[in-house]
Amino acid sequence: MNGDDKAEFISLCRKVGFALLRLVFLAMFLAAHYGLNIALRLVLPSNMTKFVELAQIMIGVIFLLIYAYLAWDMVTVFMPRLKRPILQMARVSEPDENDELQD
Amino acid sequence: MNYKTEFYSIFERTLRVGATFVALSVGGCLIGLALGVSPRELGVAVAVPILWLFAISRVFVAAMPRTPSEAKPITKSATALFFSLAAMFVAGIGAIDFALSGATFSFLRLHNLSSGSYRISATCGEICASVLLVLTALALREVFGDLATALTVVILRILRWPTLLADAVPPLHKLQHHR
Repeated sequence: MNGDDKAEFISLCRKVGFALLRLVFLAMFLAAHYGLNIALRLVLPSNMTKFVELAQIMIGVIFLLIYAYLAWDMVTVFMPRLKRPILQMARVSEPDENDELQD
Repeated sequence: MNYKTEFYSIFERTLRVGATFVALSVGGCLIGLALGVSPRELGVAVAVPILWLFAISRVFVAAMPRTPSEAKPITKSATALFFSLAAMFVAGIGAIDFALSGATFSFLRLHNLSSGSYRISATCGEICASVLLVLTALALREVFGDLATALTVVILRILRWPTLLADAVPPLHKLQHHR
């Protein structure tokens, strides 16, 4: 393995690490989602079933969108060209070794 | 950038985007309830247009000019032309979102997926599995780049069998010479 290959391998490992970090966030939000659903059932009285159902639907939609965002963010780790170019342009003046991994 | 900084960055970004999603979802649910959508279908009815809107915005972001020289500055921003173009742009995005959401609803209804949380979670699971598959494919492409390229060339060559068959047939001008 020459120097370039080694650098590429290290870069890939870092990308996988960043992707896994997003996966950790996904798991955290999933836990929060389930926790909220359970808390709603436990805290609110049983005669408010309709409200609980509605709140669960609303929470479900919000978390579904957050999951989609995190999945998209995970894809952009491997395809940095899909990120917001305006912010990338703004950061040209202050280059970072892992600039492509930032939003 | 280290993992700690990245962790805080993702957290901050997710919260910021999450706040937008909360506003959109609550607004969407209220509109849905006002329009008399049944609670069973409310989740899909609100999530699908927002997801498509998110996808459209990502496509626009990816299609934006990369370098400052490509970006054309707007000089007369307050003109009637600018506002009419902006209105047309928003209306166009709305129309695309409406069409895509309508197509998705039709698809879900056609496959009897529009009701039942089990079906919805199964669809979400399939989407997650697809994302994981794409990520795995990307990772594999990064590691086995040359091998994957060689494999793609072979597959493309196999798929080009009609052209190869056509190449085996003598060219037309040669046949004309024999007349």
